[in-house]
Amino acid sequence: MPDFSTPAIMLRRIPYGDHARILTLLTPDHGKISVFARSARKDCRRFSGALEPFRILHAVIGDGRGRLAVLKEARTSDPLEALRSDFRSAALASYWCELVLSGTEEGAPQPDGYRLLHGALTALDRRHMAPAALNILFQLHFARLSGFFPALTRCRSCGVALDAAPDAVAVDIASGAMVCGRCFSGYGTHPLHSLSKGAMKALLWLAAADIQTAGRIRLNPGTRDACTRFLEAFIPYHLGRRPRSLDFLTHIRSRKKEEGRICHVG
Amino acid sequence: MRCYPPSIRRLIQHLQTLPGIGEKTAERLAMHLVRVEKKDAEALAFSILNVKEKVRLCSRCFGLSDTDVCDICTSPTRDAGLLCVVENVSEMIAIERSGAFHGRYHILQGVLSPMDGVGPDDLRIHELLERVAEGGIREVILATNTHMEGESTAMYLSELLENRPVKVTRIASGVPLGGDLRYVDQLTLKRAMETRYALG
Ligand SMILES: [Zn+2]
Ligand SMILES: [Zn+2]
Repeated sequence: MPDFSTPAIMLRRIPYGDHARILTLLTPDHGKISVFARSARKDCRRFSGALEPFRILHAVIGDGRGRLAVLKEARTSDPLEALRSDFRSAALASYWCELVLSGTEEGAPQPDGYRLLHGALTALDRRHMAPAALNILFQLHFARLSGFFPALTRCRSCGVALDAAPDAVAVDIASGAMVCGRCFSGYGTHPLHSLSKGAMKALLWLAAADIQTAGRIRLNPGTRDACTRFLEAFIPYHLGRRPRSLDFLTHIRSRKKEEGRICHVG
Repeated sequence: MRCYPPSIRRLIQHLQTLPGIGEKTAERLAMHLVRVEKKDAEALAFSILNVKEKVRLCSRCFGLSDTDVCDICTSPTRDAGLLCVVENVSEMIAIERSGAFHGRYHILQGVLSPMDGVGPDDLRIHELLERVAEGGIREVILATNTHMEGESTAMYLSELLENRPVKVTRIASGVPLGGDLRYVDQLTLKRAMETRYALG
């Protein structure tokens, strides 16, 4: 493999020995890729501060001669300055990176996944839309790209359309399918997550929107929180692991509630 | 290695577990220890054991100490109204070496890192708030590192301290002395430009 240069997003950094790091990057054409960054922890000159979490980079990657590929050069193409000093945004960005880390296979091209994460991180940094709504939007698009998008338009059991369904509705977390109130009982042992019709409609609406159009809608707080709770149960279930960042996100949300603040984290 | 007797081989193996020590250096150190006088070797062995027995975390600042409360926390010549918050002992030592600070410290024992599962309960944040609540502190200086985790930890702490009767400050960042502007990253340069000062 000859050297190649690529845009990349820093997903994870693991210290290796005293000075090196093993980095996991998301790139459009090479997908998720692990690289060895020699002297990454002391050589400020070579990487000059570029190797921070979720930094958007321009990277030059070289052949590892049968071993891990080597990061030869990295320079920041977007430092996401506002995001890096705001712990709420940083926690959301960590959560997204963890989803991408566990939901993406190594080596397969990820042009859409890259565009999604890049778009979400820059929108979070520039406050193009409210972080909570952006979090919902990101997770919906991520679920679609990962092939486990929830099927919310009809009841899985009786086929009734969402609009015609009785008010109480739920989602079968395992299949991602909507189950109407008449079919709750006798549905079996699958875990059901109750979700209002309004929340389901908001999810369908957001799933069809991009960041530009979604930025204009205002979700009411109840709907927004219900959508968030559902996606943060649904997506980790399908990835098979609970991202660690969710604990911190939950902590700062509960602290907010205690203090009765109005602003909201995703 | 084979050519050494088992006792020296064992010593080499143990020395090799130390950071930055490879096999060659371990061999050299071992041969040095073979040659030194017995009392010097005993003094070395004793000081290693002594460190393991005595050193603990100071119950106030969580720095290293031989006693329940460390020398810095008990010293009457240090300004008790100034509290400098750092990530780890190594940062505290760096600041002490600079001689630029004469207050007291609070060592968080890390930084917030959601992805690594490090949250507020894993750090000495609760104890920091308690120290501030006890009174007597005028200013809390947030001296966590300027990497992303350090910055967001500083912001998290500044919010927690918002309604307390203390001044909260953050250490300045900018171009390092003796540094070459060409190799300074864009964020540092930007901040250095924003916080420029008038000469004369
Ligand atoms: Zn039904
Ligand atoms: Zn102390």
